[in-house]
Amino acid sequence: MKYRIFDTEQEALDAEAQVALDIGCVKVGVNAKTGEAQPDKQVTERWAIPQQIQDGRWVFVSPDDEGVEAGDDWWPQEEFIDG
Amino acid sequence: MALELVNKLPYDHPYRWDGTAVGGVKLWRPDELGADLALWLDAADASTITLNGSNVSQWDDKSGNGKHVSQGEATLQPQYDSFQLNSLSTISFVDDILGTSSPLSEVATDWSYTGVMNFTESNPSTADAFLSSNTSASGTFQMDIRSVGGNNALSFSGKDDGGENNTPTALYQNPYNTITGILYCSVDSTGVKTSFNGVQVDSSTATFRTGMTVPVRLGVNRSVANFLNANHAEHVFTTSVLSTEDRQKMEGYLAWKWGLEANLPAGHPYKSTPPTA
Repeated sequence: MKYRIFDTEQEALDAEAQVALDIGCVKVGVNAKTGEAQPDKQVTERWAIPQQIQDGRWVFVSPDDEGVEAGDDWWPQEEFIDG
Repeated sequence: MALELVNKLPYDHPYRWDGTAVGGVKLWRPDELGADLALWLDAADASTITLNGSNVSQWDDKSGNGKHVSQGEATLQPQYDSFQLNSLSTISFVDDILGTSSPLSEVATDWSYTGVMNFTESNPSTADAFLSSNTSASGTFQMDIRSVGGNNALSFSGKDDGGENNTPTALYQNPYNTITGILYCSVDSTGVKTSFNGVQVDSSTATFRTGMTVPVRLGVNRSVANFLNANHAEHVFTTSVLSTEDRQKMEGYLAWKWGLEANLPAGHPYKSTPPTA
């Protein structure tokens, strides 16, 4: 999985909005049984919410091969199996 | 109509579950619990699934309480029908999350959870969860893979009412292989009890806040860091600890529906036939 990386949150938000527009992911869902549109159900609102990584930059999951692999030090520490 | 013939009808055939219309038996379903039903998610019921392509944006609650789980972010939506159990659709989570938008306020004190899951997890280093409260506050819980008594286990764990991490209660020991099974846990003022495929596995006196004051999430742990990649078939929460009779009916219903009846122990009342209403 690759990520697109930005210096500021606004740059990331703008880029994510463009990705969502380009791939057409913002849309009303359809019922799995009938195939009918369901505007009263959860709409897919965006591609991904940009997240801030440990060094202060902002990233979101790339929809294609453009971008970089996640660094080991990007995310907050996970919860380990200590009870 | 004989029960055997009712069972041959497709899952979504109206008389499979209510044979009374043709003079037959009515099979037991979770809605027989009435007001005790807090949340009921059934991946086999396509009418309750809203899709964004092949991904799930909403999975409707069948309890009547409107506690649907949903996801508006495309990259976090699980996949529908990429894995089947007993020819029934499941929802596959791979670093994905669905959650309720409000707490299960119907659960005022005690509660129970019963569900069917399929997953493969090998020697995890983190507590990867498939179900959790959406905060890490005191009295909240999660169901995950972690170490219990020196063995990796599918477990129920969380922080007790004092904010301390409790000793996890095992649901299934050493799950290094693919697991498909019926999970059950109950929470009341005496602690937690867990069962797997109709057999009680573990118990503890860990005291959680009885009741559910925060929303619940599928696919990840309380701190939204540890995902358990798994196929979710069905989840049922009730507003009380099930009686032995109702717990066995729930296990029988799930076992026969999802093709797991062979996993029930000898002597289980629904080992040979599904429960009827």
